[in-house]
Amino acid sequence: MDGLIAHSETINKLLARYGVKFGIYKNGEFREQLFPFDPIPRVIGHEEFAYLEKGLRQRVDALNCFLRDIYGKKQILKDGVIPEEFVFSAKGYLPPCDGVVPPKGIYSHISGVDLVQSKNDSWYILEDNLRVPSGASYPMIAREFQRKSAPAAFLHNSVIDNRNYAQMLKSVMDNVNTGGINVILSPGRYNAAFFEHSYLAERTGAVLTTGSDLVCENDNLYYVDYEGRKRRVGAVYRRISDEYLDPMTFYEDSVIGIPHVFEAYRKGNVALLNAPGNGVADDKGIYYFVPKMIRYYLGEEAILQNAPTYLPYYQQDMKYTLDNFDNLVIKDVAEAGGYGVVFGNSLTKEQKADFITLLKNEPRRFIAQEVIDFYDLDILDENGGRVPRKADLRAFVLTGSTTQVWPSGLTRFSRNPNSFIVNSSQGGGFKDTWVLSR
Amino acid sequence: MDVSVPGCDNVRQSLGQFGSRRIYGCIDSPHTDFTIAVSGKVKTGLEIFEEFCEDPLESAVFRVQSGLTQPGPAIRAFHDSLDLCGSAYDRAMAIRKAVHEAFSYQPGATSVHESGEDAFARKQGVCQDYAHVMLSLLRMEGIPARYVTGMLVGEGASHAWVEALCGNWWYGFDPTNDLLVDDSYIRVSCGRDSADCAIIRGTFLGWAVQMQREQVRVEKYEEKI
Amino acid sequence: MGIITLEKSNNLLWLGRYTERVHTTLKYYIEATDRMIDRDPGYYAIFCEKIGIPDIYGSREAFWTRYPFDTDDPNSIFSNLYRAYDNAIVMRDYIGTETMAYIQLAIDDMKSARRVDTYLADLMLVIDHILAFWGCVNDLIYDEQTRNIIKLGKGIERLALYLSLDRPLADIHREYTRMKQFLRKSHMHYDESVLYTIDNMLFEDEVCYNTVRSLIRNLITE
Repeated sequence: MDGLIAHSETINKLLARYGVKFGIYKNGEFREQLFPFDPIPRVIGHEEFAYLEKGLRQRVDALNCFLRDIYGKKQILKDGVIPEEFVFSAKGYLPPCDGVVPPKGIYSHISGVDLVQSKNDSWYILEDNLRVPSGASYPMIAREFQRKSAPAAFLHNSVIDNRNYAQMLKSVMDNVNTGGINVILSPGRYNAAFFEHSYLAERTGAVLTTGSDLVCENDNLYYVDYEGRKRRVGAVYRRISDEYLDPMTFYEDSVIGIPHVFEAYRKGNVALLNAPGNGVADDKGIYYFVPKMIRYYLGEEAILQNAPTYLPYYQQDMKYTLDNFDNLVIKDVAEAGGYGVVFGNSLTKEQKADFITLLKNEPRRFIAQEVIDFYDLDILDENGGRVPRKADLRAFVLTGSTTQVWPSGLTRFSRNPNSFIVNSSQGGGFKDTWVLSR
Repeated sequence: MDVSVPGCDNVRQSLGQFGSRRIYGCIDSPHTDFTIAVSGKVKTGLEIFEEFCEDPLESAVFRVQSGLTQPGPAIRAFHDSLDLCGSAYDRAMAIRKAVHEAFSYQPGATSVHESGEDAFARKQGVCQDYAHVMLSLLRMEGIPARYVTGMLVGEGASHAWVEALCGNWWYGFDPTNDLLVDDSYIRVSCGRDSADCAIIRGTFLGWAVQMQREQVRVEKYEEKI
Repeated sequence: MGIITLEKSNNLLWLGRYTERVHTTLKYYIEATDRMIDRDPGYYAIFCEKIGIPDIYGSREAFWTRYPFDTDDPNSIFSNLYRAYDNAIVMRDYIGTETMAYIQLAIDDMKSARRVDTYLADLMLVIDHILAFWGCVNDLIYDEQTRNIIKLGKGIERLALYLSLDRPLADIHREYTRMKQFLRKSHMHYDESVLYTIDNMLFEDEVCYNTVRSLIRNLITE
């Protein structure tokens, strides 16, 4: 471990050398920033990981069942387990997807589940990301450099190699491929995660495209080369959001989408990873119901718990929220990336009054959660000393012929000692996540 | 029905959302303009407009607000000022009348993607805005309601109105003309709001300023059986 | 890989052209700087004329620092290096992270050279890393097509610059022959009649460099 710390400078240099960056817009200008890396890994023991693995597989399997049901028979609504209002008013619910069954019935192929560990060592699920979760490439490439700069650290620690992510991803794409090549669809180099798109393309052998070289013809998708030859595309790992995917079906002014790709998808001629419409399942309002889904679809109790959550939509929860306002964190269900998060105790009197009016007017728009007492992780400060910081873990769960959890994950931390927000867009950094094999 | 798009030899059909029929295609070669001509005979009659719907799940998606019907201060205040009572049908009739009276018809006042709230704040708009505001109010009342695009007998542009689920029947209400929908209305498609019901949508590659013109002509044709 | 779209073939071609532009203009700059120290202080005006950029510098000293480093000057070496980077970053899956790193390293060299007085010596490192990049292109890019298009770009740019810089005809003939090999192998669209014209012109008694140069620049049709 000391070797890693001693060589943290080397690793950061390597990250810079290999262009491990993320893009960010500041004052309307695009800039590339290095994603700050901390050399002290998060270590997850063998048994602990087995527990997480079980819980995550269960959760993602249930979420896939839910999506199949919502865009199919809607049995869970008929049985009154989830109020239909929560489903149909979710921003991510897409009527064009109703009745469309994706290849092999899989909706969420790559799921990013965010967890935190509390001081009493329990893990809690913070949110599910079933649309375009990003971040796996960072620990993947950081591991590559760590093994180069401090091989001794890996000699005795039985750390499971996490560089198999690309193979896992490739087999997930191959599993649903309808006959053709795999492509990764990126919005382009000015996207925050462009490094990841290009790196995963390089590692999986998929073709990186920004859409301009893809065309739909007779409800099939093709990739056109510079001599005008067409190759059929069987699977699209798309890193653009649903609304931009196809201007003929979704957001009409999208210039990064592929016209008519939705028709090809609907007719089963191409797989889209993840399936459009998944936003209905990772909606912050639906999150509350995931443990109920697990019980409903799998007949099991949820292994991993949600953070204690209240829905002001229910009268008793509204009362609880108002009574305990100062101890809660309130989240706007329509926002993401650490935005739209309000800590009750951070508001002035007037702000609080305004917020409560808003809450009463639009109860469906918010969820309230207990503030979890995070188990902090040490990071190295500028002087080489260890200081504790808030951190979360994004686990990557891949669904191909079976559902598997990648034996690693993206550990993000807040660089500001008083902040709970770990998102890279807001200045957070990352660590490698070690899973031990024994 | 006949559809012709000169220059496009790959016109295809599929089923769109909410049961709409969708005809689509692509012109590969460079062009400066193109025309889509649709002509045919339609049969209308009261039974088409009063559709039966028993399964509450089928209408649930129309009970919640959608992107363009989200109420804001203007619509909320208006809702508070209305004295609504009685059956869903009675309330829908009252809302139709109130919206008709509150708005003044002003072609060109609004843009295509404008929400009902924004149009209502100005109290000016076209059939699309009348329909969005009526939808917003009906949904605030818990009445499932959907947006309908279609045509009227005569010559001009396409029209939009509202259908509300009253009892187990969908009834058509035209807030722009303050009328109940009858057999002079031809229904084309329906959805949560106008964004779901575009009569035409598309995209092109290249640098060009685009202009779109739409013309509708409907003549009555009586057929004795 | 085997599938290169029109857009990507352009990126590869320009990656070759810009890396070569950085390489050759940097070498020429180092040579010209030496000349300006004592022998010919006003030579920068000729330098600009030769490579066909506007002389916005006004003094030898301004030229010395602005031409290599000024990223606000679209004709500076650094600006061209960034263009190479722009074309490389979108091609990671074709050229590989390893190969790409050398462009990044050249950028880092530029940045650190800018900060020191001994920048002439430090600029040599930029050339080192460009050469390492070329080494990787040869050694690590297994796909022939990808390699050939990059090398075609490099060949075209080198030939155009050599013509601008009035290099001896023997050099021009050599580079032309090399470039033509890659042109055939790359399967890029080009105008056969233009090639035929160049063929004839280059072996006339009096070769008009200017005409050949403009023909070379327009060889590839899109």
